[in-house]
Amino acid sequence: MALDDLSDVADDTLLQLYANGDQSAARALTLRLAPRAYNQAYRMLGVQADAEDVAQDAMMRVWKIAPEWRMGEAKVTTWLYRVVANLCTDRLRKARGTSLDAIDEPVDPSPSAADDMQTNARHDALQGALMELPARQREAVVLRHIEELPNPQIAERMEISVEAVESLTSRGKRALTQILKGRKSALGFEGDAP
Amino acid sequence: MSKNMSDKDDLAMLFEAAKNASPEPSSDFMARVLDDAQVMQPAALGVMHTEMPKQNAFKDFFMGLSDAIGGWPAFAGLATAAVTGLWIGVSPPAGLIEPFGTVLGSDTSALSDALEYGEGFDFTLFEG
Repeated sequence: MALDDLSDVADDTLLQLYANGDQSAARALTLRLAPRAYNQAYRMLGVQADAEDVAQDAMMRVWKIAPEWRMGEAKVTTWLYRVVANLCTDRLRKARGTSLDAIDEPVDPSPSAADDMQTNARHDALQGALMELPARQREAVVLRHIEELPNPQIAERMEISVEAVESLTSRGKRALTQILKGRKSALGFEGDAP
Repeated sequence: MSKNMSDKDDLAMLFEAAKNASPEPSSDFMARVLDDAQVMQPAALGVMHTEMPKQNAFKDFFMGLSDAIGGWPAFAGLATAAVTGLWIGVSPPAGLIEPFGTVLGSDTSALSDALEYGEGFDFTLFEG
């Protein structure tokens, strides 16, 4: 089956095709799910190599569970999200005690233009500030304000109530504002203040 | 109040930048994931389930026949006997054996003598 034919195929159907030996389903699932797992892991861990390790581990679990996946019982993306979140939490727990300063370093130290530098600086500043939040607050803020998921969907993914989601995002945003206050000049926001 | 609004705007701007700058996974990472997928794919099992029964049924028939007649050497003997029989039927060697009609002629008493089935027997007894 050609890869183009699979673009409209549901995730769980692709899993079934994969389990039946369809190689194009393996490629389609990789292209569809691996970047998503990596993005989520990167937002939670802030380090590319760690995010890739976690995302690869999560995808291994996708391949393992494919033959046993029961159609229509759960969304593959929701299941994968929980797997990545749990793996990230485990990794953060193990890494607790190491300095967070290293996470604030820019990922790409050689931007070519001033605009790129500022964009990167803002991106890195946000990522660094996110890493200073408690894991659950960070998770809720990323899902709400970067992934732009509605609160009920976040509640489902995080297995908490909608009220708890609202509380986490609200506290997370307040904490982010405080953290970023001291970095306004570096981010080019200084002239915006009244 | 305006200070707070500004902080919120700054944060919203950062979120917007983050949305537009999703980190791209490296091609090495994507290749590793695809490699895992291919290694772990139960492809062979899926294909064998659909094709193996035919192959097994065919193989099982000949294995069963072979066991029944004494193994593969028996197949060779069977084939030789079949070819020889066919050849003798098509082209019988001269003087090896005469057909029954030629040996006995039309006199059936020679046959009754040969088979010793006694006096009074007549082949017409078998006829309705």
